[in-house]
Amino acid sequence: MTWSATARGAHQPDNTAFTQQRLPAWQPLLSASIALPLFFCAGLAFIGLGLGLFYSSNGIKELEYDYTGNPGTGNCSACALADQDRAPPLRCSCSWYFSLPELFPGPVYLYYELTNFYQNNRRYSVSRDDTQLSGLPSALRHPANECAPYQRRASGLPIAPCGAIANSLFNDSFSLWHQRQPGGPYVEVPLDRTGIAWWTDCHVKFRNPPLVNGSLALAFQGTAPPPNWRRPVYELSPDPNNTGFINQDFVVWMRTAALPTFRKLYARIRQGNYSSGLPRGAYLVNITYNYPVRAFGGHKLIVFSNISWMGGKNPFLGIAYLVVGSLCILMGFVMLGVYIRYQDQNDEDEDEE
Amino acid sequence: MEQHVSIDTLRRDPSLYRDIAKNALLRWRVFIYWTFLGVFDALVFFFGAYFMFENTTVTSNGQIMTTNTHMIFGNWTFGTLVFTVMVFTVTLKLALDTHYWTWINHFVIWGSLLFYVVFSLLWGGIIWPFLNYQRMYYVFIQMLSSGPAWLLIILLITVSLLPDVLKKVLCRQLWPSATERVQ
Repeated sequence: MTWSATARGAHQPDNTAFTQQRLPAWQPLLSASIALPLFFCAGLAFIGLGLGLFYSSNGIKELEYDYTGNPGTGNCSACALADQDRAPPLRCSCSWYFSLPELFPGPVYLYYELTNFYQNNRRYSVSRDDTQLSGLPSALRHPANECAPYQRRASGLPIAPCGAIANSLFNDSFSLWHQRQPGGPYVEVPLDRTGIAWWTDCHVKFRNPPLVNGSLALAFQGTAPPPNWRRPVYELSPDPNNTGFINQDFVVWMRTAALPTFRKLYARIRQGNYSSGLPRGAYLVNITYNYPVRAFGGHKLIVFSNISWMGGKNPFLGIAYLVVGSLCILMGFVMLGVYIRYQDQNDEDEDEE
Repeated sequence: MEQHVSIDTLRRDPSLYRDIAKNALLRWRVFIYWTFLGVFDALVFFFGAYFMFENTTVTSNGQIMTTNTHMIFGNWTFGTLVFTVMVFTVTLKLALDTHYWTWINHFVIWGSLLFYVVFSLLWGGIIWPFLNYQRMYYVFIQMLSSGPAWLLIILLITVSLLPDVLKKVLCRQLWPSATERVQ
Protein backbone atom coordinates (compact mmCIF):
# COMPACT_ATOMS: atom_id res chain seq x y z
CA MET A 1 0.00 0.00 0.00
CA THR A 2 1.44 3.33 -0.92
CA TRP A 3 0.58 6.65 0.49
CA SER A 4 1.42 10.01 -0.87
CA ALA A 5 3.18 12.55 1.31
CA THR A 6 1.38 15.43 -0.33
CA ALA A 7 -2.23 14.28 -0.47
CA ARG A 8 -4.30 14.79 2.68
CA GLY A 9 -5.09 11.46 4.34
CA ALA A 10 -8.43 10.71 5.92
CA HIS A 11 -7.05 10.69 9.48
CA GLN A 12 -4.64 13.58 9.23
CA PRO A 13 -5.55 16.22 11.86
CA ASP A 14 -6.58 19.69 10.76
CA ASN A 15 -3.96 22.37 10.53
CA THR A 16 -5.49 24.66 13.12
CA ALA A 17 -3.76 26.31 16.01
CA PHE A 18 -5.69 24.16 18.45
CA THR A 19 -4.81 20.77 16.98
CA GLN A 20 -1.23 21.65 16.10
CA GLN A 21 -0.52 23.03 19.54
CA ARG A 22 0.18 26.50 18.31
CA LEU A 23 -2.29 28.31 20.57
CA PRO A 24 -1.15 31.71 21.73
CA ALA A 25 0.12 31.36 25.25
CA TRP A 26 1.62 33.18 28.16
CA GLN A 27 4.82 31.68 29.47
CA PRO A 28 5.62 33.09 32.87
CA LEU A 29 9.00 32.38 34.32
CA LEU A 30 9.47 32.34 38.04
CA SER A 31 12.78 34.11 37.99
CA ALA A 32 14.46 35.85 40.87
CA SER A 33 13.71 39.32 39.55
CA ILE A 34 9.99 38.65 39.94
CA ALA A 35 10.13 36.55 43.06
CA LEU A 36 12.40 38.78 45.13
CA PRO A 37 10.26 41.94 45.17
CA LEU A 38 7.24 39.73 45.70
CA PHE A 39 8.77 38.08 48.76
CA PHE A 40 9.78 41.40 50.28
CA CYS A 41 6.41 43.02 49.65
CA ALA A 42 4.54 40.05 51.02
CA GLY A 43 6.82 39.86 54.04
CA LEU A 44 6.36 43.54 54.86
CA ALA A 45 2.61 43.35 54.35
CA PHE A 46 2.33 40.30 56.58
CA ILE A 47 4.43 41.84 59.32
CA GLY A 48 2.34 44.99 59.25
CA LEU A 49 -0.86 42.98 59.39
CA GLY A 50 0.53 40.79 62.13
CA LEU A 51 1.43 43.74 64.31
CA GLY A 52 -2.01 45.24 63.86
CA LEU A 53 -3.72 41.97 64.70
CA PHE A 54 -1.48 41.30 67.70
CA TYR A 55 -2.02 44.70 69.27
CA SER A 56 -5.71 44.57 68.54
CA SER A 57 -5.94 41.21 70.26
CA ASN A 58 -3.87 42.37 73.22
CA GLY A 59 -6.23 45.24 73.79
CA ILE A 60 -9.13 42.92 74.44
CA LYS A 61 -9.96 42.26 78.03
CA GLU A 62 -11.28 39.01 79.36
CA LEU A 63 -12.49 37.94 82.74
CA GLU A 64 -13.34 34.34 83.48
CA TYR A 65 -14.38 32.23 86.41
CA ASP A 66 -14.54 28.48 86.73
CA TYR A 67 -17.68 27.68 88.65
CA THR A 68 -17.71 23.90 88.25
CA GLY A 69 -17.51 23.71 91.99
CA ASN A 70 -14.63 21.34 92.51
CA PRO A 71 -14.08 21.05 96.25
CA GLY A 72 -12.38 24.07 97.72
CA THR A 73 -12.89 26.38 94.79
CA GLY A 74 -15.49 28.72 96.07
CA ASN A 75 -19.15 29.06 96.44
CA CYS A 76 -20.43 26.57 93.92
CA SER A 77 -18.87 23.50 95.49
CA ALA A 78 -21.99 23.10 97.61
CA CYS A 79 -24.05 22.70 94.45
CA ALA A 80 -21.44 20.49 92.90
CA LEU A 81 -21.28 18.07 95.82
CA ALA A 82 -24.91 17.23 95.32
CA ASP A 83 -24.16 16.38 91.71
CA GLN A 84 -22.50 13.01 91.92
CA ASP A 85 -23.38 11.39 88.58
CA ARG A 86 -26.82 12.92 88.77
CA ALA A 87 -28.30 16.26 88.01
CA PRO A 88 -27.94 18.73 90.87
CA PRO A 89 -30.93 19.58 93.05
CA LEU A 90 -33.53 21.86 91.64
CA ARG A 91 -32.54 25.48 91.54
CA CYS A 92 -29.29 25.25 93.42
CA SER A 93 -27.67 28.63 93.12
CA CYS A 94 -24.31 30.05 93.92
CA SER A 95 -22.60 33.37 93.41
CA TRP A 96 -19.38 34.86 92.27
CA TYR A 97 -18.24 38.16 93.68
CA PHE A 98 -15.71 40.17 91.77
CA SER A 99 -14.72 43.78 91.46
CA LEU A 100 -13.44 45.79 88.56
CA PRO A 101 -10.68 48.28 89.37
CA GLU A 102 -11.39 50.24 86.20
CA LEU A 103 -13.88 50.50 83.37
CA PHE A 104 -14.25 47.31 81.37
CA PRO A 105 -14.79 48.89 77.95
CA GLY A 106 -17.80 47.72 76.04
CA PRO A 107 -19.70 46.32 74.39
CA VAL A 108 -19.25 43.53 76.88
CA TYR A 109 -20.24 40.00 75.95
CA LEU A 110 -21.06 37.26 78.41
CA TYR A 111 -20.13 33.71 77.42
CA TYR A 112 -20.35 30.33 79.05
CA GLU A 113 -17.51 27.94 78.37
CA LEU A 114 -17.56 24.17 78.62
CA THR A 115 -14.54 21.90 78.54
CA ASN A 116 -14.25 18.24 77.64
CA PHE A 117 -17.63 18.38 75.92
CA TYR A 118 -17.42 16.82 72.48
CA GLN A 119 -20.20 18.43 70.51
CA ASN A 120 -18.35 17.30 67.41
CA ASN A 121 -18.83 13.61 68.20
CA ARG A 122 -20.33 12.12 65.07
CA ARG A 123 -23.18 10.16 66.61
CA TYR A 124 -24.08 13.16 68.72
CA SER A 125 -23.95 15.67 65.90
CA VAL A 126 -26.31 13.72 63.64
CA SER A 127 -28.84 13.24 66.42
CA ARG A 128 -31.19 16.03 65.37
CA ASP A 129 -34.09 16.56 63.03
CA ASP A 130 -33.74 19.75 61.00
CA THR A 131 -37.10 19.21 59.32
CA GLN A 132 -38.85 19.17 62.68
CA LEU A 133 -36.96 22.27 63.75
CA SER A 134 -38.00 24.11 60.60
CA GLY A 135 -41.55 24.09 61.88
CA LEU A 136 -43.09 21.69 59.37
CA PRO A 137 -46.29 20.46 61.02
CA SER A 138 -46.02 17.03 59.42
CA ALA A 139 -42.53 16.52 60.80
CA LEU A 140 -43.32 17.80 64.27
CA ARG A 141 -44.91 14.57 65.42
CA HIS A 142 -42.72 12.27 63.36
CA PRO A 143 -39.15 12.85 64.48
CA ALA A 144 -36.43 11.28 62.37
CA ASN A 145 -34.89 7.94 63.26
CA GLU A 146 -31.49 9.53 63.75
CA CYS A 147 -32.79 11.08 66.95
CA ALA A 148 -33.03 7.70 68.65
CA PRO A 149 -32.97 7.11 71.63
CA TYR A 150 -34.37 10.62 72.05
CA GLN A 151 -37.08 10.10 69.48
CA ARG A 152 -40.06 9.07 71.59
CA ARG A 153 -40.66 9.05 75.30
CA ALA A 154 -41.58 5.92 77.18
CA SER A 155 -45.20 6.99 76.97
CA GLY A 156 -44.98 6.88 73.18
CA LEU A 157 -45.22 10.62 72.66
CA PRO A 158 -42.82 12.03 70.07
CA ILE A 159 -40.14 14.29 71.47
CA ALA A 160 -39.99 17.85 70.24
CA PRO A 161 -37.18 18.91 69.77
CA CYS A 162 -35.75 15.44 69.26
CA GLY A 163 -32.20 14.28 69.44
CA ALA A 164 -29.23 14.22 71.79
CA ILE A 165 -28.09 17.74 70.96
CA ALA A 166 -31.40 19.24 72.04
CA ASN A 167 -31.57 16.98 75.07
CA SER A 168 -28.24 18.25 76.38
CA LEU A 169 -29.27 21.90 76.23
CA PHE A 170 -27.25 24.05 78.57
CA ASN A 171 -29.63 25.27 81.24
CA ASP A 172 -27.58 27.26 83.73
CA SER A 173 -28.64 30.86 84.02
CA PHE A 174 -26.79 33.92 85.17
CA SER A 175 -27.74 37.34 86.43
CA LEU A 176 -25.37 40.21 86.94
CA TRP A 177 -25.65 42.70 89.77
CA HIS A 178 -23.65 45.87 90.26
CA GLN A 179 -22.91 47.58 93.55
CA ARG A 180 -22.25 51.21 92.75
CA GLN A 181 -21.12 52.32 96.17
CA PRO A 182 -19.40 50.12 98.72
CA GLY A 183 -22.03 48.96 101.14
CA GLY A 184 -24.78 50.12 98.82
CA PRO A 185 -27.52 48.11 97.18
CA TYR A 186 -26.96 45.80 94.24
CA VAL A 187 -28.57 46.93 90.98
CA GLU A 188 -29.28 44.41 88.27
CA VAL A 189 -27.36 44.92 85.04
CA PRO A 190 -29.70 44.31 82.08
CA LEU A 191 -28.56 41.38 79.99
CA ASP A 192 -29.69 41.40 76.37
CA ARG A 193 -30.56 37.81 75.55
CA THR A 194 -31.44 38.55 71.94
CA GLY A 195 -29.17 38.88 68.95
CA ILE A 196 -26.84 36.14 70.17
CA ALA A 197 -27.40 33.61 67.37
CA TRP A 198 -26.95 33.77 63.61
CA TRP A 199 -29.77 35.81 62.09
CA THR A 200 -30.41 33.15 59.47
CA ASP A 201 -30.58 30.46 62.12
CA CYS A 202 -33.25 32.27 64.09
CA HIS A 203 -35.32 33.51 61.21
CA VAL A 204 -34.95 30.96 58.45
CA LYS A 205 -33.59 27.64 59.57
CA PHE A 206 -35.44 27.30 62.86
CA ARG A 207 -39.15 28.11 62.78
CA ASN A 208 -41.94 27.39 65.17
CA PRO A 209 -44.82 25.25 63.92
CA PRO A 210 -47.89 27.30 62.99
CA LEU A 211 -49.89 28.51 65.98
CA VAL A 212 -53.10 26.72 66.84
CA ASN A 213 -55.78 29.16 67.99
CA GLY A 214 -53.00 31.69 68.56
CA SER A 215 -51.28 29.48 71.11
CA LEU A 216 -47.87 27.90 70.79
CA ALA A 217 -48.61 25.38 73.52
CA LEU A 218 -51.49 24.01 71.45
CA ALA A 219 -49.24 23.81 68.41
CA PHE A 220 -46.97 21.46 70.39
CA GLN A 221 -49.81 19.34 71.67
CA GLY A 222 -49.16 15.66 71.32
CA THR A 223 -45.41 16.03 71.79
CA ALA A 224 -43.25 15.80 74.87
CA PRO A 225 -40.08 17.63 75.88
CA PRO A 226 -36.75 15.74 75.91
CA PRO A 227 -36.06 13.71 79.08
CA ASN A 228 -33.51 16.13 80.53
CA TRP A 229 -35.67 19.21 80.15
CA ARG A 230 -37.69 20.56 83.04
CA ARG A 231 -39.91 22.75 80.93
CA PRO A 232 -41.48 22.12 77.54
CA VAL A 233 -40.01 23.88 74.53
CA TYR A 234 -42.77 26.47 74.28
CA GLU A 235 -41.97 27.70 77.79
CA LEU A 236 -38.29 28.35 77.27
CA SER A 237 -38.76 32.07 77.67
CA PRO A 238 -41.54 34.46 78.66
CA ASP A 239 -40.93 36.49 75.51
CA PRO A 240 -43.27 35.10 72.80
CA ASN A 241 -40.81 36.04 70.07
CA ASN A 242 -38.03 34.09 71.73
CA THR A 243 -39.68 30.86 72.73
CA GLY A 244 -40.20 27.52 71.08
CA PHE A 245 -37.72 26.39 68.48
CA ILE A 246 -36.59 29.95 67.80
CA ASN A 247 -35.42 30.54 71.36
CA GLN A 248 -31.97 32.05 70.93
CA ASP A 249 -30.30 30.00 73.66
CA PHE A 250 -31.60 26.85 72.02
CA VAL A 251 -30.45 27.98 68.58
CA VAL A 252 -26.99 28.88 69.90
CA TRP A 253 -26.72 25.46 71.53
CA MET A 254 -27.82 23.65 68.36
CA ARG A 255 -24.97 25.18 66.41
CA THR A 256 -22.54 22.43 67.39
CA ALA A 257 -19.07 23.52 68.34
CA ALA A 258 -15.95 22.32 66.56
CA LEU A 259 -13.67 21.50 69.49
CA PRO A 260 -14.16 20.00 72.97
CA THR A 261 -13.42 23.29 74.71
CA PHE A 262 -15.81 25.89 73.44
CA ARG A 263 -17.61 29.06 74.38
CA LYS A 264 -21.10 30.02 73.47
CA LEU A 265 -22.60 33.44 73.72
CA TYR A 266 -25.04 33.88 76.56
CA ALA A 267 -25.89 37.57 76.56
CA ARG A 268 -24.76 40.99 75.46
CA ILE A 269 -24.45 43.87 77.90
CA ARG A 270 -25.30 46.95 75.95
CA GLN A 271 -28.26 48.67 77.45
CA GLY A 272 -28.67 51.78 79.51
CA ASN A 273 -25.79 52.84 81.71
CA TYR A 274 -23.74 49.85 80.64
CA SER A 275 -23.68 50.43 76.90
CA SER A 276 -20.14 51.79 77.02
CA GLY A 277 -18.89 49.06 79.29
CA LEU A 278 -18.92 47.88 82.85
CA PRO A 279 -17.93 50.71 85.16
CA ARG A 280 -15.65 50.07 88.08
CA GLY A 281 -17.13 48.72 91.22
CA ALA A 282 -18.15 45.51 92.91
CA TYR A 283 -20.15 42.95 90.99
CA LEU A 284 -22.06 39.81 91.79
CA VAL A 285 -23.00 37.05 89.39
CA ASN A 286 -25.86 34.89 90.56
CA ILE A 287 -25.53 31.46 88.98
CA THR A 288 -28.31 28.92 88.86
CA TYR A 289 -26.35 25.69 88.80
CA ASN A 290 -28.32 23.15 86.78
CA TYR A 291 -25.95 21.59 84.30
CA PRO A 292 -24.05 18.45 85.42
CA VAL A 293 -20.55 18.50 84.01
CA ARG A 294 -18.58 16.77 86.75
CA ALA A 295 -19.83 13.37 85.63
CA PHE A 296 -17.60 13.51 82.57
CA GLY A 297 -14.79 15.55 84.05
CA GLY A 298 -15.76 18.77 82.37
CA HIS A 299 -15.60 22.30 83.62
CA LYS A 300 -18.01 25.18 83.36
CA LEU A 301 -16.77 28.72 83.16
CA ILE A 302 -18.34 32.09 82.81
CA VAL A 303 -16.46 34.62 80.72
CA PHE A 304 -16.79 38.35 80.22
CA SER A 305 -15.11 39.66 77.12
CA ASN A 306 -15.20 42.65 74.86
CA ILE A 307 -14.60 42.38 71.16
CA SER A 308 -12.81 44.22 68.41
CA TRP A 309 -13.16 44.40 64.64
CA MET A 310 -11.51 41.03 64.33
CA GLY A 311 -13.43 39.19 66.98
CA GLY A 312 -12.42 38.22 70.46
CA LYS A 313 -9.04 37.62 71.98
CA ASN A 314 -7.07 35.60 69.47
CA PRO A 315 -3.32 36.16 69.48
CA PHE A 316 -2.72 33.21 67.15
CA LEU A 317 -3.51 35.11 63.97
CA GLY A 318 -1.28 38.03 64.87
CA ILE A 319 1.63 35.84 65.85
CA ALA A 320 1.22 33.63 62.78
CA TYR A 321 1.29 36.63 60.47
CA LEU A 322 4.37 38.02 62.18
CA VAL A 323 6.18 34.70 61.90
CA VAL A 324 5.30 34.16 58.25
CA GLY A 325 6.17 37.76 57.41
CA SER A 326 9.56 37.44 59.03
CA LEU A 327 10.17 34.14 57.25
CA CYS A 328 9.31 35.76 53.94
CA ILE A 329 11.76 38.57 54.52
CA LEU A 330 14.44 36.14 55.66
CA MET A 331 13.93 34.03 52.56
CA GLY A 332 14.03 37.18 50.50
CA PHE A 333 17.45 38.03 51.87
CA VAL A 334 18.69 34.48 51.29
CA MET A 335 17.54 34.62 47.69
CA LEU A 336 19.07 38.05 47.28
CA GLY A 337 22.39 36.67 48.46
CA VAL A 338 22.15 33.73 46.10
CA TYR A 339 21.13 35.99 43.24
CA ILE A 340 24.04 38.38 43.76
CA ARG A 341 26.51 35.52 43.99
CA TYR A 342 25.02 33.93 40.90
CA GLN A 343 25.26 37.23 39.04
CA ASP A 344 28.96 37.47 39.91
CA GLN A 345 29.49 33.91 38.76
CA ASN A 346 27.60 34.62 35.57
CA ASP A 347 29.74 37.68 34.86
CA GLU A 348 32.86 35.59 35.38
CA ASP A 349 31.60 32.94 32.98
CA GLU A 350 30.83 35.57 30.38
CA ASP A 351 34.24 37.15 30.84
CA GLU A 352 35.90 33.79 30.32
CA GLU A 353 34.03 33.15 27.11
CA MET B 1 -1.23 22.06 25.47
CA GLU B 2 1.65 22.18 27.88
CA GLN B 3 4.92 23.09 26.29
CA HIS B 4 7.88 23.95 28.46
CA VAL B 5 9.77 25.27 25.51
CA SER B 6 8.54 26.49 22.15
CA ILE B 7 8.75 24.37 19.02
CA ASP B 8 11.32 26.57 17.34
CA THR B 9 13.70 26.44 20.31
CA LEU B 10 13.43 22.68 20.38
CA ARG B 11 14.20 22.35 16.72
CA ARG B 12 17.26 24.54 17.12
CA ASP B 13 18.59 22.61 20.10
CA PRO B 14 17.32 19.03 20.23
CA SER B 15 19.71 18.20 23.06
CA LEU B 16 17.07 19.69 25.35
CA TYR B 17 15.18 16.43 24.98
CA ARG B 18 17.80 14.85 27.18
CA ASP B 19 16.12 16.57 30.12
CA ILE B 20 13.13 14.30 29.88
CA ALA B 21 14.99 11.16 28.84
CA LYS B 22 14.65 8.04 30.99
CA ASN B 23 11.29 9.25 32.34
CA ALA B 24 13.05 11.93 34.38
CA LEU B 25 9.89 13.84 35.21
CA LEU B 26 8.28 10.87 36.92
CA ARG B 27 11.17 9.63 38.97
CA TRP B 28 10.92 8.56 42.59
CA ARG B 29 12.65 11.72 43.75
CA VAL B 30 10.00 13.95 42.24
CA PHE B 31 7.24 11.73 43.56
CA ILE B 32 8.54 11.77 47.12
CA TYR B 33 9.01 15.52 47.01
CA TRP B 34 5.36 15.98 46.01
CA THR B 35 4.22 13.53 48.69
CA PHE B 36 6.08 15.40 51.42
CA LEU B 37 4.72 18.66 50.12
CA GLY B 38 1.24 17.19 50.30
CA VAL B 39 1.70 16.04 53.87
CA PHE B 40 3.12 19.41 54.88
CA ASP B 41 0.20 21.22 53.27
CA ALA B 42 -2.32 18.96 54.97
CA LEU B 43 -0.78 19.69 58.36
CA VAL B 44 -0.80 23.41 57.64
CA PHE B 45 -4.47 23.39 56.61
CA PHE B 46 -5.76 21.44 59.55
CA PHE B 47 -3.61 22.75 62.37
CA GLY B 48 -3.77 26.30 61.12
CA ALA B 49 -7.54 26.25 61.40
CA TYR B 50 -7.37 24.22 64.62
CA PHE B 51 -5.15 26.68 66.45
CA MET B 52 -7.26 29.58 65.42
CA PHE B 53 -10.41 27.85 66.68
CA GLU B 54 -8.80 26.51 69.79
CA ASN B 55 -8.24 29.94 71.09
CA THR B 56 -11.72 29.66 72.32
CA THR B 57 -12.91 33.18 71.96
CA VAL B 58 -13.03 32.84 68.19
CA THR B 59 -15.17 29.73 68.43
CA SER B 60 -17.98 31.90 69.57
CA ASN B 61 -16.82 35.39 68.98
CA GLY B 62 -19.14 38.31 68.97
CA GLN B 63 -17.76 40.26 66.08
CA ILE B 64 -20.28 42.91 65.25
CA MET B 65 -21.17 43.45 61.66
CA THR B 66 -24.26 45.48 62.34
CA THR B 67 -25.73 46.18 65.72
CA ASN B 68 -27.67 42.97 65.54
CA THR B 69 -25.61 40.27 63.92
CA HIS B 70 -22.41 38.50 64.74
CA MET B 71 -20.70 35.22 64.44
CA ILE B 72 -20.59 32.01 66.28
CA PHE B 73 -18.29 29.57 64.54
CA GLY B 74 -19.28 25.95 64.78
CA ASN B 75 -18.30 22.53 63.60
CA TRP B 76 -19.19 23.06 59.97
CA THR B 77 -17.49 26.42 59.73
CA PHE B 78 -14.27 24.74 60.82
CA GLY B 79 -14.60 22.13 58.10
CA THR B 80 -15.58 24.65 55.46
CA LEU B 81 -12.54 26.77 56.31
CA VAL B 82 -10.14 23.84 55.97
CA PHE B 83 -11.79 22.72 52.75
CA THR B 84 -11.76 26.16 51.16
CA VAL B 85 -8.08 26.62 51.94
CA MET B 86 -7.39 23.19 50.46
CA VAL B 87 -9.26 23.87 47.21
CA PHE B 88 -7.48 27.16 46.67
CA THR B 89 -4.02 25.85 47.56
CA VAL B 90 -4.30 22.82 45.30
CA THR B 91 -5.52 24.87 42.36
CA LEU B 92 -2.85 27.53 42.84
CA LYS B 93 -0.17 24.84 43.09
CA LEU B 94 -1.32 23.55 39.76
CA ALA B 95 -1.20 27.08 38.41
CA LEU B 96 2.37 27.46 39.68
CA ASP B 97 3.42 24.32 37.87
CA THR B 98 1.84 25.28 34.58
CA HIS B 99 4.41 26.85 32.30
CA TYR B 100 2.42 27.32 29.14
CA TRP B 101 -0.81 29.20 29.67
CA THR B 102 -3.25 28.93 26.81
CA TRP B 103 -6.81 30.21 27.09
CA ILE B 104 -7.85 26.71 28.06
CA ASN B 105 -5.55 26.72 31.10
CA HIS B 106 -6.89 30.08 32.21
CA PHE B 107 -10.47 28.99 31.72
CA VAL B 108 -10.06 25.75 33.60
CA ILE B 109 -8.01 26.98 36.53
CA TRP B 110 -9.70 30.27 37.31
CA GLY B 111 -12.99 28.76 36.28
CA SER B 112 -12.58 26.02 38.87
CA LEU B 113 -12.05 28.49 41.65
CA LEU B 114 -14.93 30.62 40.51
CA PHE B 115 -17.15 27.58 40.22
CA TYR B 116 -16.23 26.47 43.74
CA VAL B 117 -17.16 29.83 45.21
CA VAL B 118 -20.40 30.14 43.25
CA PHE B 119 -21.39 26.57 43.99
CA SER B 120 -20.71 26.95 47.70
CA LEU B 121 -22.73 30.14 47.82
CA LEU B 122 -25.65 28.50 46.06
CA TRP B 123 -25.42 25.26 48.02
CA GLY B 124 -25.40 27.03 51.36
CA GLY B 125 -27.64 29.88 50.39
CA ILE B 126 -30.82 27.92 49.82
CA ILE B 127 -32.70 25.48 51.99
CA TRP B 128 -32.74 22.52 49.64
CA PRO B 129 -35.90 20.53 50.23
CA PHE B 130 -34.42 17.15 49.38
CA LEU B 131 -31.82 17.32 52.15
CA ASN B 132 -32.47 15.69 55.53
CA TYR B 133 -29.94 17.82 57.31
CA GLN B 134 -29.55 21.52 56.70
CA ARG B 135 -26.11 21.62 58.22
CA MET B 136 -24.43 23.68 55.52
CA TYR B 137 -27.12 26.32 55.40
CA TYR B 138 -25.47 29.72 55.34
CA VAL B 139 -22.19 28.36 56.72
CA PHE B 140 -20.07 29.45 53.77
CA ILE B 141 -21.56 32.92 53.61
CA GLN B 142 -21.25 33.36 57.35
CA MET B 143 -17.63 32.27 57.20
CA LEU B 144 -16.87 34.72 54.41
CA SER B 145 -18.39 37.59 56.35
CA SER B 146 -15.86 37.18 59.12
CA GLY B 147 -12.60 39.12 58.85
CA PRO B 148 -10.42 36.63 60.74
CA ALA B 149 -11.58 33.82 58.45
CA TRP B 150 -10.40 35.72 55.37
CA LEU B 151 -7.08 36.53 56.97
CA LEU B 152 -6.58 32.92 57.95
CA ILE B 153 -7.37 31.70 54.44
CA ILE B 154 -4.82 34.06 52.91
CA LEU B 155 -2.23 33.10 55.52
CA LEU B 156 -2.68 29.35 55.12
CA ILE B 157 -2.57 29.49 51.32
CA THR B 158 0.64 31.51 51.47
CA VAL B 159 2.28 29.21 54.01
CA SER B 160 1.36 26.12 52.00
CA LEU B 161 2.77 27.44 48.74
CA LEU B 162 5.84 29.14 50.19
CA PRO B 163 8.18 26.10 50.28
CA ASP B 164 7.40 25.20 46.71
CA VAL B 165 7.94 28.72 45.36
CA LEU B 166 11.16 28.96 47.32
CA LYS B 167 12.40 25.67 45.95
CA LYS B 168 11.53 26.63 42.40
CA VAL B 169 13.31 29.98 42.56
CA LEU B 170 16.40 28.67 44.34
CA CYS B 171 16.81 25.65 42.10
CA ARG B 172 16.40 27.82 39.05
CA GLN B 173 19.23 30.06 40.28
CA LEU B 174 21.60 27.48 41.65
CA TRP B 175 21.10 24.41 39.50
CA PRO B 176 19.31 25.42 36.33
CA SER B 177 18.52 22.60 33.97
CA ALA B 178 19.20 22.96 30.29
CA THR B 179 15.57 23.81 29.59
CA GLU B 180 15.60 26.54 32.17
CA ARG B 181 18.80 28.03 30.82
CA VAL B 182 17.20 28.32 27.41
CA GLN B 183 14.05 30.04 28.68
